[in-house]
Amino acid sequence: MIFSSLFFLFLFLPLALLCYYLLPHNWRNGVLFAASLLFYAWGEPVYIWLMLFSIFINYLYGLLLARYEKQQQVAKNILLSAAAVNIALLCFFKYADLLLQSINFVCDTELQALNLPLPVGISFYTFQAMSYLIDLYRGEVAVQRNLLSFGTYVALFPQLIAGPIVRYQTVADQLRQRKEDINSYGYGVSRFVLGLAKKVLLANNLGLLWQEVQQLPAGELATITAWLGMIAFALQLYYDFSGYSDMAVGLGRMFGFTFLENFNYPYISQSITEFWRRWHISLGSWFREYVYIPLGGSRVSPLLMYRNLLVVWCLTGLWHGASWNFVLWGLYFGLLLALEKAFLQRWLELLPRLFRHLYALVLILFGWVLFVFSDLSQAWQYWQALLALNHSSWLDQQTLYLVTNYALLLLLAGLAAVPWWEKIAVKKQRNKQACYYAAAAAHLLLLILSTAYLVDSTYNPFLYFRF
Amino acid sequence: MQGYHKALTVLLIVYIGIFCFLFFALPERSFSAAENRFLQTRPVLSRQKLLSGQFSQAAEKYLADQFVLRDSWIRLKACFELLLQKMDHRGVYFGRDGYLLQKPQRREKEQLEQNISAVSNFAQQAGKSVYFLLAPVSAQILREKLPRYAVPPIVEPSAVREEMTADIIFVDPSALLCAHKQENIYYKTDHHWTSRGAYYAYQELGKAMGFKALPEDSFVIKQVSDNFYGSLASQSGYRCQPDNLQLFLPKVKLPYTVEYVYRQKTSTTVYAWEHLRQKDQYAVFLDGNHALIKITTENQTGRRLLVVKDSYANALVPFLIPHFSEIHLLDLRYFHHQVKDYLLQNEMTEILFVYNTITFAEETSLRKLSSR
Repeated sequence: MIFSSLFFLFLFLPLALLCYYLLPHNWRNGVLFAASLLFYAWGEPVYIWLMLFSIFINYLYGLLLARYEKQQQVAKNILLSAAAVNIALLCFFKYADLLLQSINFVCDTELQALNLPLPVGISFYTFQAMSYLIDLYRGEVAVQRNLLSFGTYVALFPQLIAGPIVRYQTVADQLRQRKEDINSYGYGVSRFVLGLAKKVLLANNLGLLWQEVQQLPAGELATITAWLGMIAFALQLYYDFSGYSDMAVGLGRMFGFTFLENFNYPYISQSITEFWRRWHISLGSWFREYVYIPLGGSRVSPLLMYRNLLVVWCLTGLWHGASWNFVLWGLYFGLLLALEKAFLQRWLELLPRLFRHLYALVLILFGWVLFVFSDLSQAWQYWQALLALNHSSWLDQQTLYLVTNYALLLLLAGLAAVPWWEKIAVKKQRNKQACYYAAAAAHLLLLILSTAYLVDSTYNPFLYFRF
Repeated sequence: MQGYHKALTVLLIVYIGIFCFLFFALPERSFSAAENRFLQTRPVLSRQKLLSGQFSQAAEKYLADQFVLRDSWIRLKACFELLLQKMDHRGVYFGRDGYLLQKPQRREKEQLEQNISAVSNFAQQAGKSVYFLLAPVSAQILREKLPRYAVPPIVEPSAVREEMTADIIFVDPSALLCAHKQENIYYKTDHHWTSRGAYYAYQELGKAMGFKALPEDSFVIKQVSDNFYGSLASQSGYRCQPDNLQLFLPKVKLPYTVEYVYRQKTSTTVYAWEHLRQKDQYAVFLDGNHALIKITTENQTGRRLLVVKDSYANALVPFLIPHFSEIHLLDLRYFHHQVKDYLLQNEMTEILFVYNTITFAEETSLRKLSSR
């Protein structure tokens, strides 16, 4: 099930909330766990067993680690075997085919691909479970002896399928005891509605623009059309992902949880380093906390530090999908971060702010080309189109059509990617009452429009002329 | 602040509550006229359906199909899109003066080239006169109705003529249609041409095929419908002005029979009137699309015509009846035999292809023309 569906919004969510608040207080984790399992099993019931297995085995590992916490070496071995099991599961279900294909390519063999469908959310819940065990090993959290609480943590449906990756230490106390109150709930409603609107009104429609550009042959793409397409894709991805994160944060609040933020206006960054502090924050901090720093981070010799960067960014890329272009995409950012660390950051400081913004945005957009095309030659062609090296014109009739059609949407999407309205909200402190009315009305409007788009997405006329 | 958060909380609860309540309180709808299909009704729960995921799919569809004021929500969305200055929706351009026009989907030329060579090869081996009528679609003739900067379909009849073999007599009604573009030659809400549009193509065809097209005053032009919402209206989900549907009925009626071969059905008229009460009123012409239709007349012209066609031919063929003794209509999308064999067995004397530019650029069934 996904959040941006009529079924979730008008049936699952109200039922889950009703059960949660009407049933006895100490059933709350149980209700959440049951709701999460139903949420997960709804689309494809098979993989529910995989998730339950993952919950159970990580729970047992937790107990084991707690038991041997005094014996450093034993604990370490337990942790290593736990990590191996988790990574093996992830690799088998997510990366097996990539591995087989690569072996076929290199060794000229003909191994059969497994074609397993990807278990939804496996990348997220595996990383969450691992964060628990590592923190436990480090003595940063207490062991969770209640299987139900642990299951609730791993399977919690607000963040189950698209993050954020909630570290155990963030919610450890909340799992035991949390206070649901109307302020927090109202804030959650607001975040949920905004997230829904981001996904349904902005991301999906920006996706249409990108689709139109993508189906044009890259060799004939007018330069401005190419830029338009990539900007649309960049905004689509941002609103899609951050919309889901907002909905997760909002839903979490409605059930009394406080998650950490996952996005912080990434496109206002002035460097790539800053971008990665603002984009998918929970993944970045996971890799920093559990890979980069354990490898020595930047407190080692420069050579080792660059090796660490390389490893982390290879993995970050690969995490995004089982395809080599994601690795390249990760390496691309790893390289830029290394350059910024080495000298670029200092040079950038000398430039006016506008140039720093342009520098970051252009490099991010060039990066998305690697992200979106799994075929490197297509990415190459698209880069050429962006750089006007494809012997095409600057703009053509198609460009003008796309601009007239999408200018308003792009304008809205661009404005919403910048935190200007938060500043206005602060300035207008004097006129509080009016602000609240306006904000509530805006929420209602977004909710209505989102509903219209959701209903429309199920529009399915029987057309008698195309079969 | 607390008041604000309370208000938001109440807002969401009331909003969801209203629709949940209405969903369960209102009766089920079983058919959607707007979408021309049956709606999902309450799914039955069974173990097997639950495990296979069929139940969850049906339940989601149930909620969506039975959503309160479903059609209004879809219209609200279309209005908002127009507010955002979006000039196309699901492959349909919102044109000027209430015209909806087909937006071409594919931009590759491969299929078109394959189709051109399939027809060319067929013509070279047929040993009969082969005519090809390539009908332009509304977006090509009514360019001034397109939204600003909209890109018309890429297939230009003149370019196709260049590439076809000289064995084919190519008929291009574009110029004549252009000259009459003020006269409702295309429907506003449907992707077909009107009888009037087809009539001009018939005139052009007469010149090429050597028959004398009947003048307009030998027809009674009869309006049989004023509430035709065509395929483009359905596809876009956009509420617009309906079309009128007019027929060109000959003043002197020649007797003929129409045989729908695979349906074991015959008729003494090319018009299937019952469709005027249904959604797709264009199917009044020859009952929509059939694999094979035979029209037998008592004319002694000795000309036996095989028409290989898409649905554009349906409005055209009624005009051809006086000039041929037999007309066989063959739709390659549903016809699964060898066209060459059919040609010989039925002693057809000439062949006419009728396709509109978009179908001809995208259709994959023309490969059936080559022998297996």
